[in-house]
Amino acid sequence: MVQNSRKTSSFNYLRAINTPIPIVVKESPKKLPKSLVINGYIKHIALISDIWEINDEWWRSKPISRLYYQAITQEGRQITIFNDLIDHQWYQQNI
Amino acid sequence: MKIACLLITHLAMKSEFTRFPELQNRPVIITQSHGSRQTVLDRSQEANGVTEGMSVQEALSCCKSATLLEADHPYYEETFNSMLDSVGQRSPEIERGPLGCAYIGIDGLEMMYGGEARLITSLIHAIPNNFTPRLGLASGKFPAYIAAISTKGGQATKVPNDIAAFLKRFSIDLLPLSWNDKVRLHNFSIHTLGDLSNLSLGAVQAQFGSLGKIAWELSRGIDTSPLIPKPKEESIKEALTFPSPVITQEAILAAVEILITRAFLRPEVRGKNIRGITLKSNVIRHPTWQKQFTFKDPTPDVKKAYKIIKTTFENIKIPGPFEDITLSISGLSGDSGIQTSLFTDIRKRAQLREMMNLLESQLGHKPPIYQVKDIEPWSRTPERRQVLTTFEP
Repeated sequence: MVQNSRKTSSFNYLRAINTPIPIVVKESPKKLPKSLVINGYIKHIALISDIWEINDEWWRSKPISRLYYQAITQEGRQITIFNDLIDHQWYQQNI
Repeated sequence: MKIACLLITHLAMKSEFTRFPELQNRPVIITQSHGSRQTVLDRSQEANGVTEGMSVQEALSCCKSATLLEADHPYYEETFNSMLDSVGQRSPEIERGPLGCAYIGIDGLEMMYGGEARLITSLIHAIPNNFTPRLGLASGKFPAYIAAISTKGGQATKVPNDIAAFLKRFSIDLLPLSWNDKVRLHNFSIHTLGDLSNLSLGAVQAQFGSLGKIAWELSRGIDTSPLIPKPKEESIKEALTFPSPVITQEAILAAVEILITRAFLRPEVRGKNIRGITLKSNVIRHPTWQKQFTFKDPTPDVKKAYKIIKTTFENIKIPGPFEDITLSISGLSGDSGIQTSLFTDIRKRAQLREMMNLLESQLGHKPPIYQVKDIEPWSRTPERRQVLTTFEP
């Protein structure tokens, strides 16, 4: 059961969308994503179609440094994941 | 301008006596609630020592054998309005004052009725005898009101040409002033209208400002305020009596749906916009229940009107078993439709706005509906590009 947060509900704020979702990724010896778990299912990557790096907001306390992979699973689904080069975690994000 | 003031004193009590004749010649007190406080609205002649405005506890200590009745304002209003409708057949110019008081323009009507006396008789006869109406005739509203007060029930008084002389014996408490101003006048030893009219205008104005000027003029019988007749409003009524009293919202709403559909099918309503609907019901052992529904935008659509009523009705506490239900439609606007935009996207926006307003009134706060807005669409970081914000159509 969800507990009452006791906070007054308010809709007068901006809500970030498309925030990264942490995922579990199994890496290959070359540190490339090999398989990942989405909604409890293991998906094997058939092809990595693109790789790019983003380094941004370096002036902030939490700078952004990510290595993105556009991958296609064996089921033919296209997904975008990235490896956070600061905390070394894997995330899924729509582009 | 000739004005007649129609005054029906103790209208609430007289209305109750009409409804419950068995209460006549008995001590009766009509009470009304102000939050948790109950006061006396009206009382019968037999309720000795009880005055209007007194708390109920105090009134009961003065008159222990009194029968208490809860004020039924919708019933009193309806009774008075039906009387005004009857007077309206004699003169089209009627300005409604507080409950039991109205001003009637009678210029030129003497000719139609064959003299002033016949006109007065006709006006008095427009009101049922048991309400003992009083009429005051003068050239202004205030002197006509004073004349009505000074006359006996079922009779009329015409203010003589020397209005100031007629008014001078009456108390300044009859002036339309605040309680504080009346107390101040008494503190200055100004107790009657004669005391006030004897003073110079400058002296009164110096103490009481612009209100003092009005009071001074009224004390001399000078009342130039115009008669503002009540606009005649077309009202459509549909009523239904339940086979047995109902208490459930579903049953009441089903009756409302029938009535609203019936009312919208009436030729005088068809194709017109409705601004408001009033529901009224006689409730067992309770005063008349009345609820007014005013639409934000006038509507010609029966479904929409019913939907609004239904939504509001869900939050209404039903006071007791409903014996019947009457639906009246008011504020019929002449235009046969609402001009909509030529451009469909603007129309859609208007529909969305309407939907949001409905949701807001239903939920009691802004509905949790958001829209995606670009904030940094150029950003390389995907989560920085767009945000969700509250939807403002």
